[in-house]
Amino acid sequence: MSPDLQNALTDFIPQVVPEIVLGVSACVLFLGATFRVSRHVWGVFALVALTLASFALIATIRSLPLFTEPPTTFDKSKWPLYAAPVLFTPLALFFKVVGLVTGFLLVLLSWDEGGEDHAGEYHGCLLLLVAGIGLVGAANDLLTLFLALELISLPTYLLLYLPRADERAQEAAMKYFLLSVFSSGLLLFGFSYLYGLTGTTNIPALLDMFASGQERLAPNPEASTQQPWVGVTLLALVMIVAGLGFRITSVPFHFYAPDVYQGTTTPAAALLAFVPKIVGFAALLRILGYVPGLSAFERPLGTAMGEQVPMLLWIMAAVTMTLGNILALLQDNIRRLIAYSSVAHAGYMLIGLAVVRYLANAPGESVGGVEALLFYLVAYGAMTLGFFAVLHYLDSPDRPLESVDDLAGLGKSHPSCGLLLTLFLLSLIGMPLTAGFVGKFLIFFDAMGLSSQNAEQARLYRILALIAALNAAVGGWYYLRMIGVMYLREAIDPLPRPRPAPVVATIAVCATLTLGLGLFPQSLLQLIRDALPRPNAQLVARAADEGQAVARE
Amino acid sequence: MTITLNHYLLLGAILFVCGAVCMATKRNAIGVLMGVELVLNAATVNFVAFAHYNPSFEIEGQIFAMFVIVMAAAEAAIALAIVLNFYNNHATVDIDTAEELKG
Amino acid sequence: MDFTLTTYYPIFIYLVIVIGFGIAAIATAHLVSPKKVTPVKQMTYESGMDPIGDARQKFDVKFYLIAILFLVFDLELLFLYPWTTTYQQGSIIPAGLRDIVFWEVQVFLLTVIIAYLYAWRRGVFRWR
Repeated sequence: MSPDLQNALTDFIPQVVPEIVLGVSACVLFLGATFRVSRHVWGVFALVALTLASFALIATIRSLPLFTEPPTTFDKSKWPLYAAPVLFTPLALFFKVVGLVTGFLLVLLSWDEGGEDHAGEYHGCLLLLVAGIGLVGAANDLLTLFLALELISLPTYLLLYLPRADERAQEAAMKYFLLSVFSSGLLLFGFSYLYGLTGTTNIPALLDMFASGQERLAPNPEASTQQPWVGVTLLALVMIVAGLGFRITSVPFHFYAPDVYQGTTTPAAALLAFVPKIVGFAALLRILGYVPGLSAFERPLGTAMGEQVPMLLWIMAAVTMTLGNILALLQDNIRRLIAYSSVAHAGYMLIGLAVVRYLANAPGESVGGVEALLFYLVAYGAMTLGFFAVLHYLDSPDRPLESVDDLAGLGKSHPSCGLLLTLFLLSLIGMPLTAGFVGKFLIFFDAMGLSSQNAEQARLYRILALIAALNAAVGGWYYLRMIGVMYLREAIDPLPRPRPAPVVATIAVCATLTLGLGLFPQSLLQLIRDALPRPNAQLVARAADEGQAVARE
Repeated sequence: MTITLNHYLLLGAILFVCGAVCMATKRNAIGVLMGVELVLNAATVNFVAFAHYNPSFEIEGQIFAMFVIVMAAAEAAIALAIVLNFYNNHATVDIDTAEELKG
Repeated sequence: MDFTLTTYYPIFIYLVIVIGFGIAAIATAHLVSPKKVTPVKQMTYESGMDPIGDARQKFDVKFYLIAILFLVFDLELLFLYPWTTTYQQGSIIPAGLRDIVFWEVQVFLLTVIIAYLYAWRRGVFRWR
């Protein structure tokens, strides 16, 4: 084994110091919870651990170079990229930061949640979850990716299950568990075929094998003549997309979402709405080869995995947003409604993924699609976590907040809460001056902007943009209905005045983000652009030529 | 007859389908869990077979299989804990009785 | 690989010792112990369960807890096995990685111990 590769296997340890800090803190929380029962002690401890991890991340950024140099040859023994289990890319940094911020918000959001005696375990699980988000973003190997995804799934089951022991919460936990494990199985089965075709579990090496046409269902000699592996590749991809589709709640894998959101507690529902989505999209970006700067091949971005994938994503996006919005219209329970709304938003995000293949190689200053998708994820996280945080703040055991009608008269009885809910709902609709608008704008703009390459493709994606616009209009109806109930109807039994709680901090941060990203989207966009290196100019030019050639035919 | 890679892949595929069907048809939570285990083991069979039959492949497949086995055990442990509590509340593991959440 | 019987001599010796020990233990107990026959002692031994009656009787929940713990700790061994078998053979783990692999295994064992301590503190081993 060459020294370079050996170093690749040891050098990654400083890169995961933030995750190590989180893991050790989680162990302390698990053990400590058996010695001392106090939600405040362990809540503060979790916040301290997250702060320490943030400092560790800052130190990592200061001391370690970000990985930005793609390899120039596909020589697996020479480039550490092809051996490293995790990679400290700019995109990994982005997900680590998002994960830590989410961690802070979730700890504050679920401060008062569940029994006091399980507070330590609860926060420990949250910390493991945050570590998992960082590792998914950094994973450079199918094995690391799978384990990081499991590092998120396993604590999620416990977080669904720990805070409440009543029947509904248990039913929700069990439903989520069985489907989530099945989705892991699908993902794993897809991974096994990818491994069989390429002989490696390293993601860049794997993508480069596909890009150079070296994949074989070896060692069967006649296999190489009959080309059966093309079908196998597609099968593997469909399984992987399906397995991750569970996490991002895309149709047809969305059906668990409403039941689980309704059955579980509000903080757990907030977590489920955001965390699996962000890791699902992170994993999809990596496996589909949509992250630039990691390939040795003179190939346009995203072509490694075949031409059918964008079409698959196109169909999923269209069906997901339409079905999510239509079913949301029929709901009366707030959490079921938001669950379907989260399905619809997954559909919008999938548009971002579907256009990457065509936009990434178009000239411009950013990687279209990926950029819009990442912005939308952050915006969606801010508004959804904020919305759930307000619900959680108003909710109380004697007067649970379940159906839309429970919001009646909120505008008068709780003016500030009403205003904040309105802000988050307007952002979910996509009204200008909110983060939701910028996200939708970027995504729709990407789908409309495919004109230069291939007329047929461009028309197809304009249709998708049109479907999305119609959906946004339909979505407006049920969000506006909630605002209407809040302001136009009188409460028969007004909600009690909530006591101040740490969740207020979550609401404040989410509201600031929602408004701030709506007013000054450039700040985050610039960060995302810096995190995504451009594919090199020659490739872009060549892809443009190919596009024109296709168009001429 | 010599056993080739294809036989193992077929075995993996059959296990996978059995697991999926088992998940879809079983009403018993433990039965559903067994289906899930079959699906995970199908992937394991594939990994090990690929790693074994291709001389140029390294041992990533076996390593992957090991992690999957341990992961499956961890998941089974959580599942059993949840089912146990479910049983204490519902006095049955028939998941069709879990129908509080419908819409 | 050539099959030579000499390779298996240690196993044969081991088998003889094991079987001999078993027989010796039973024989000694039979000779030395006081004999007092009670109905409970006459029952077939079935791991603490009542051997007569419906086979579909309920197990105590406490068994399940132990079973779950066993399941997890048992499979954690899986990670130790490859390490122990390759640790002595220099060619398999490269020299530069041997230390780091050693410490990784120690950290892994530490997490197992933490899990064990957690279960202990939560009273899983208390037979209430």
